[in-house]
Amino acid sequence: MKNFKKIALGLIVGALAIGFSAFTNIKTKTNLSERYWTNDGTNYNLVTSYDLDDCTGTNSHLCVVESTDAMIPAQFSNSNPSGYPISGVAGASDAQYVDE
Amino acid sequence: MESLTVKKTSYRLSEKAKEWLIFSICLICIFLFLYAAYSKIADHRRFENGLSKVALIRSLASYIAWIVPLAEILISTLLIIPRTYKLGLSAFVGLMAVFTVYIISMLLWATKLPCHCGGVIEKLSWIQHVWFNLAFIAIAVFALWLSRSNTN
Repeated sequence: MKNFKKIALGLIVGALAIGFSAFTNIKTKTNLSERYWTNDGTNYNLVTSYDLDDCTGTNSHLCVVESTDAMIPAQFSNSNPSGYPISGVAGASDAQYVDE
Repeated sequence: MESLTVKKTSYRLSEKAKEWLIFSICLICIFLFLYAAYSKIADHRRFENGLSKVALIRSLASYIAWIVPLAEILISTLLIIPRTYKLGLSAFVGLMAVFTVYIISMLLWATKLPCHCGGVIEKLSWIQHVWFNLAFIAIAVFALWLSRSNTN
């Protein structure tokens, strides 16, 4: 019974881990209504798709940002990104985007 | 002349407290591995893509992309079963040590640091990831040490 309790608790924790992982799993799929810009270290450049695995090293700005605003230019400086209604994509960290 | 006698006082955990401490550490390890395994399987293409960018393991990326989450599930199963938890803890320490060596070697030699870990852990930097792994190795080693002193 004691062992049964331990196994049951272990299974509950396992189920919780899987549930929690499913809930927080980071998606990288592109959405047609969104536009994406990647940080090359100096500017944000418009891209059709991105791969967060290409985010490299550290940078003071987000690696990939997104917006639905059609007025944002294809390229803009990363020194003042707050001038545009952009937000980081899910899972993006402060890094430089290096396309391979 | 005064003689000074120093009494050695050692703090001892009761057997029940030890057992529950070991069990709690096992639960934490199970949570970590199943959480990581699920995110690697759910986003398998991305995980494999990340591994394929590491020059040293590029040719084995497709195998490693399955071996790692399956090993994590197997170790979690060993940790859940009371008769095999010690083996599970040893395997947990071993696999975490492999991950840590991999991260440190990437930090030292890789020109590019892709993150192909899963879920919330992805938000950690590589240095934070090393400390995160070392903390888990430390608590698992502590649980192993407790379990040995428990049987003696």
